[in-house]
Amino acid sequence: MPPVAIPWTKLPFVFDPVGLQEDLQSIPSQAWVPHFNPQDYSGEWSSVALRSRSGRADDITAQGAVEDFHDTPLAAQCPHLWAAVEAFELPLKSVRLLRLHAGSRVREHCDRDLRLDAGELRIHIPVATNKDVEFIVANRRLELGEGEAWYIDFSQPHRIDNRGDTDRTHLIIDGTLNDWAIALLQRALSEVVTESFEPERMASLRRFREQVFNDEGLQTELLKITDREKFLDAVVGAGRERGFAFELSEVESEFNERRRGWVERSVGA
Amino acid sequence: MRRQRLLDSFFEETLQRQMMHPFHHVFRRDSSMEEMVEWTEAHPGARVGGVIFHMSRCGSTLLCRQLAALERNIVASEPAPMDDVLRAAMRMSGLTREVQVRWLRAMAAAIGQPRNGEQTFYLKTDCWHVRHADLLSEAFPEAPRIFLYRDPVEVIVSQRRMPAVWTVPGMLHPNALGMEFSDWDPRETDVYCARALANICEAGLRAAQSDPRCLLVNYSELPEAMYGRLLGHFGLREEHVPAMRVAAQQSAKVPGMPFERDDKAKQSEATERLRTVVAEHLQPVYDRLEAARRTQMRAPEVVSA
Repeated sequence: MPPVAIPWTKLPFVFDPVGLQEDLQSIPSQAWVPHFNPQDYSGEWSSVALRSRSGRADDITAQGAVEDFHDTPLAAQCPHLWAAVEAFELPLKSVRLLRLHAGSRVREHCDRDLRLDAGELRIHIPVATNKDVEFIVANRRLELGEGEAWYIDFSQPHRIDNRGDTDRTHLIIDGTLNDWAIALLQRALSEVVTESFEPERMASLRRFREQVFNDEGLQTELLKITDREKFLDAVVGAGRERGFAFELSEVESEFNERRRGWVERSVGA
Repeated sequence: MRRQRLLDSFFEETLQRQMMHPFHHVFRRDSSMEEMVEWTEAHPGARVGGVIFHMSRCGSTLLCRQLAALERNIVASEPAPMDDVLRAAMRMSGLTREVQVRWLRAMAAAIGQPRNGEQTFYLKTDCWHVRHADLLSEAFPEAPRIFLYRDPVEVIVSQRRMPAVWTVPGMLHPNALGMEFSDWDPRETDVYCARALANICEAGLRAAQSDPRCLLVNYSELPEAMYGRLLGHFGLREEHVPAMRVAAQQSAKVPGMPFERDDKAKQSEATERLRTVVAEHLQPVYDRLEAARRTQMRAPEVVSA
């Protein structure tokens, strides 16, 4: 079967979060290293590897071929986490814990190389999370629960905002697509129901848009601002004045999404 | 768009400039065709006062500029959304003609919204749309039409200097031109272009022969034809002529440069090979167009509105 585009799906696995969290707590705090791409996030975003190119736990780069990767000492020290990894019968690349600290966010971006049709598969297993983590892919909010396993197509625009008081840590398994993984995805699509939600602040922006369509005065005001950054800020300000809860990340995402749609329209034959 | 008039050589240029503004991305309205039909019923566009078919590179932009010189007119030149509707049947197999006609009217009304009290909307189509002339006549039966064409050697020389995107099959599906992918040969791009143009001219000839309100116009008649036999055809009067004369002083595609006839320059650029290609594929239909035009010019009363 040729890989089809799957935006996301929960996978038919459940791991005991208690065991996973026990392993997480056993990792010394000094083992964690700040994530690369500091421009992509604000706050703190750190990681540690169970499998890496150098075999070291502080080597958190994910790029490379399957044969480049080796287990780190943490793999053996974290039996519950490792058992979850071994539930996935696919050629493994990097295996990492990614921790988004309380109050931190990852700005919207696309990981274009992480695509099924490129033979790449990334699996998320939430180890510790909280209800105020906003995990938003293609402007749908996904609720990833502790101990669940998810496949998500990260070539889509995605952003994560940890608005809670506790850190959010996911176990992230990168591997290459094999027959087992294809069968797993097929099974997930036919057996598992994966819900997604309109993010509340996106709904707020949607309602604001309707208001703008009916308010020529406001249109005139906003049309005066041609600079992109100033315009997006002005939209947030105009919304706030009128009691709307959306923020800059929503307006930015809306702008990017719709501009992409426009550009693709222009190049289409 | 607000009060913006469509004064660029092409609709797409006006649109692209508008879309530089971030407002139009964040606050762009997406509507289905049916929503648009409903909206345009409540917001009718200016009366469709003319449809301009053409074979490309034959003075159609000059003609549009003349029409747009009058503030009472809205002139849209090759608007892509119209192409989407005209070719929708290729993508949507179940699309009925009736629905398509309704969509064409809605799209014309949306593009031809009177933003400054304009009264008349003129549509210059893409060159391949003359192949859908019957559909457009059905949608806008009251609108007079013309098919504008030119000595094919000059058209092909112009296409060779600066090829239009449609001359490449990957940019416009060949079926829009009555062609096949296999008709295109990278060593013989002039042949593909000439055969496509021949299909366009055949369609223009058919339109003129089956429809008394479709006039044939040769580039050689421009810009004067606008003040003569096209004036009444397009519902215009003597008082409109001076403004159009001023507009004709401008080169259509390079504003600021005067319009100049360049048939001699183009003829001198034509190679022997190019003349052979034209003679084989285009000359016969051009000769028939010229004969039909002469017949029309002998009996002008038939076409007066």
